[in-house]
Amino acid sequence: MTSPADSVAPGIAQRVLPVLVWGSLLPGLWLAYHKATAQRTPAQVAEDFRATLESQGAQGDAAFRDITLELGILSVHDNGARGDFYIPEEIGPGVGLFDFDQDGDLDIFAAGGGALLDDGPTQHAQLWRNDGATFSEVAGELGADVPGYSYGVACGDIDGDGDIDVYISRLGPDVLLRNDGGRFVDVTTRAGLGQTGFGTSAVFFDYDGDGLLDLYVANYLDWTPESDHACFMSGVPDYCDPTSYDAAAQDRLYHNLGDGRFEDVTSSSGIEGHRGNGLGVCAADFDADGLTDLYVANDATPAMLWRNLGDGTFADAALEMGCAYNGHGVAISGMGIACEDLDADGLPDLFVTNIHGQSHLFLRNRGGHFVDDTMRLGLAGWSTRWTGFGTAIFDQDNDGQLDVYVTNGGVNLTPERIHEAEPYAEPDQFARLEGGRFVEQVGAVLGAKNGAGRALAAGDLDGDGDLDLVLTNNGGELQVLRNECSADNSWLMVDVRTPGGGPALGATVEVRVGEQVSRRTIRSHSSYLSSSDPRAHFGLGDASSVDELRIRWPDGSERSLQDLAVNQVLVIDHD
Amino acid sequence: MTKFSVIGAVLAAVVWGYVAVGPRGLLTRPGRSGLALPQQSQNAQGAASAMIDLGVWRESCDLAGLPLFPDPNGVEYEPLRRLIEASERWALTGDGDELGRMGQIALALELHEPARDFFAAARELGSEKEKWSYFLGAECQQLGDLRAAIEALESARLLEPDYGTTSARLGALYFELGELEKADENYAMAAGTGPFPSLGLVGRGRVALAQRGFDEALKHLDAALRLTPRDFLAHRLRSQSLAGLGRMKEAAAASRISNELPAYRGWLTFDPRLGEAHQLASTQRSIETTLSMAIARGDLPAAAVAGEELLGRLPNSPQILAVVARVVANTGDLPRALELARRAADLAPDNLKAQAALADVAIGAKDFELGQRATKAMIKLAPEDATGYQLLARLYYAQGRPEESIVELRRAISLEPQSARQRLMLVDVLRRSERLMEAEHELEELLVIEPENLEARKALQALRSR
Repeated sequence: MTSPADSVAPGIAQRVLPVLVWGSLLPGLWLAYHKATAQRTPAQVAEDFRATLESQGAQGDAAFRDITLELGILSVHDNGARGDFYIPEEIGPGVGLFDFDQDGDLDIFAAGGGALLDDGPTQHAQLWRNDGATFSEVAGELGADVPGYSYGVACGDIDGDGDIDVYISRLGPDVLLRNDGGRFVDVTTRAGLGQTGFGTSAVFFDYDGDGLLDLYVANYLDWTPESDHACFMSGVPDYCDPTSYDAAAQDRLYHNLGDGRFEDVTSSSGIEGHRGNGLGVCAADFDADGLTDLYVANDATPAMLWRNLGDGTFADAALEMGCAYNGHGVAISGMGIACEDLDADGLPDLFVTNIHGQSHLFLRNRGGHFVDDTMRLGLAGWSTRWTGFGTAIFDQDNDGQLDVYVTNGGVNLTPERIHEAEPYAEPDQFARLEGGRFVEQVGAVLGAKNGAGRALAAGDLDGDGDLDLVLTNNGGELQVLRNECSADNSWLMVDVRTPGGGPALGATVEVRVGEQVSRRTIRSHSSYLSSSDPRAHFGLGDASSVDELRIRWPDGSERSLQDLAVNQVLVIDHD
Repeated sequence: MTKFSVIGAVLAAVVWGYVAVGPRGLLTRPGRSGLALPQQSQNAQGAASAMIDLGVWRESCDLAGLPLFPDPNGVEYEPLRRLIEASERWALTGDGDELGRMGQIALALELHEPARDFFAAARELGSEKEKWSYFLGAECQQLGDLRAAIEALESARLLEPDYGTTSARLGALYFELGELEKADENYAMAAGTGPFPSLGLVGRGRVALAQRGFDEALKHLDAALRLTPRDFLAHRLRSQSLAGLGRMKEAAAASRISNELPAYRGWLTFDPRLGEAHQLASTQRSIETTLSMAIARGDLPAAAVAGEELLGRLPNSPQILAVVARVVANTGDLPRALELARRAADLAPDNLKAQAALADVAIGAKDFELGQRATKAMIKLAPEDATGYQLLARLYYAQGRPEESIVELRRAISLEPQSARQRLMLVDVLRRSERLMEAEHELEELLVIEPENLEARKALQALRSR
């Protein structure tokens, strides 16, 4: 039997405890509800939203370091600017990267400058020989010290003797230097070259499949000092826009006759009569018909795509192939070109640098016609900031993904920079392909001073399996940027040769690792006024071997190699 | 304790535990303060930009609970001030739409990442969800985040189906992604709607062109041109379609037409909402645009207002002073115009535009001595530039010295032989000096250079009829 006290206590407990327990639950639920639904701060909302997006930019690790002075190179371009603001002053200079003495490493050819109108000292071209740890200037002793105002540098073995010859486009007569075992001879007159226009980028390529390198030279303007005029876009004297001259120039095509002479076939090839402000040129088989075509980037006039018709003639197919203008119908200020097969579909795509305020242009080749994929590639934001000139698309860190470098430099004064000491200097940009988009890597270049960037040549200067860069600056220093790639990725460099032992320009190289296929073309030109290392470079990520390497020479012959070791330079001679 | 009470006690413990130590939220109400106000710094042209310790700024963003607006140092001051005002209103009222307005200002300053962040916050916390979703999509599109842009724009369209530009943007996004069928569907929704009705049709033309459907492309582009005959891109794409069909002569003709039309200025061409953002931010650039548009349509009072506003921002810019001096002179306020032009030339004696404005205004105000001084300075500065001689000719004519005026005009023409303006001026002076044969000859020469010049044709006809 329970006592009354016993009977009261459970009674209270039974009545009060549930009230306390359940009663406390209600305010708790109310507070919990409010806590769960309380308004987030805008910062939290934005943070959550950002988290759903891919990263918009990256603070990149240093990808390159300026080692120009460490290499003993001091090459300062004299642009001849004397206050007259002649437009030729702001275009150059060019640069070439090739192994002139066939000692296995790349040397540097820097185009000259100086007084524009023969009213002052001229600046000769320089040839910097790679001596391993340092470079020596040897142009004078080897006959490469071409005097005067020069722009483009094109390199190729024009006579099939295995060493690389050099064409230099200039304001005035262009120059062809034949390489005779590491010494240069000016053979311009004998070769029938030496056009007197305003030559810019030039390219050696074999358009008729005869095994001899032909030559295309882009020209910028029909310019004379008398035709120049003052422009005052910011109120003070400045360089003019090329369209203000209304004097687009005629490019020229020369056919290699095989006996040391070239024939000017501009007219008979159908190229004559089409004018543009030509700056960049790239030769590639854009329509996959087995013939090498040409894309010409013009400055504020429509680009040209010279489709090779196979009978020695060309037709401008840019309009119908969708690459004369950008997707907004604008003839961009096309400067430099990178021509690579970005999506590994076997067709060369086009990346064209542009003036500030407009983004660079990416034209994806969809089988003979191009689509403007600029925005899809994430170029719309970062690439509008500066004026891009030389460029290269290559695998900087050998991870198997292509990256892009653009050297920038101004062409016009902006009111806020009028009083600066170097008002045309601009920083370069480097971007990695991440998730299908080029993402700018801020802080990717260490130690480089901003300049008015122009030419850019890429090549493995130090033989460590990644590509270094050589840049020129208008009125400024030549810069060598060493690739600071620290990743432990594999690579393969393929040096495809002609029967004569020179670089097999136009040959295609395909590398297969598992299911992954990458393609390159043996090409020394493109970019802007530049000639790069012609060897095909492949970044292979963590691959330990290459399953298959396939080479197709321009004459149609093919070769296939299996199970190759990585991290080597493979020299492939023509059978 | 009954089983029932035990369950209740466990539930209560869980609930209170969540309240006590659960995720943040309750204490993070909207900020109680706005952003810190930077100081003003002025450059040589008098343009004010912001100056603030970065740590202080970041802390104020954090305290206000706002997305981090990156380093404001050097940013144009007036729009930034407006942004800070909006942040204060937001702190005071918790009105999420103010976040959207802050996004609009960031957009106008071309700070697209912070703009996107503000729009993302406004979409969730504001009431004008359709608008902020739209802006969020537009900024994601600008930044190349195409999928996020599609998501935001799709939701904007659900809320506001009638804003045609949304569908056009979606069409463009799907086009960029290579999803051509969806691109066409969206462009079709935009066709004939919105502030720029040909936009959707031009997009459909673009899609057809990418599929090499040249006839189909022509059909859409012709329809676009019926709606907007001066649509630059429609003509450009039409030329591409005609080229694809091998009709090269027609392609060249279409290309020529497009060359004469103004190119698009990005989405600003079609999107009034972007214009609204620029107006709200009142950036220097937006005032410059207002000024140049007012000048282009000949609305001098509006140009003068915009000009004075711009001068308030850039009081020491010789370029702006020169432009505004000329505008003000044309409204008839010559003393003010002269004051501005003098200031421009004093600030930058080597600036051609400043000297030209001074000469122009001085001649208009009949201060011939000053006018002569300025034209001589111009000629010394740029002896190969025709403008100095042309102004000198005007000065001589205003002084009643037509013969000398003719000499100077001929000098200007020798420097710019293609310029119709110089020749027409010369014709005018010759005609007034009764040298009719010479005037006729000049007009004939002009018509060789520009056979379609209507003014020259009319003048020649009038001369001959005399």
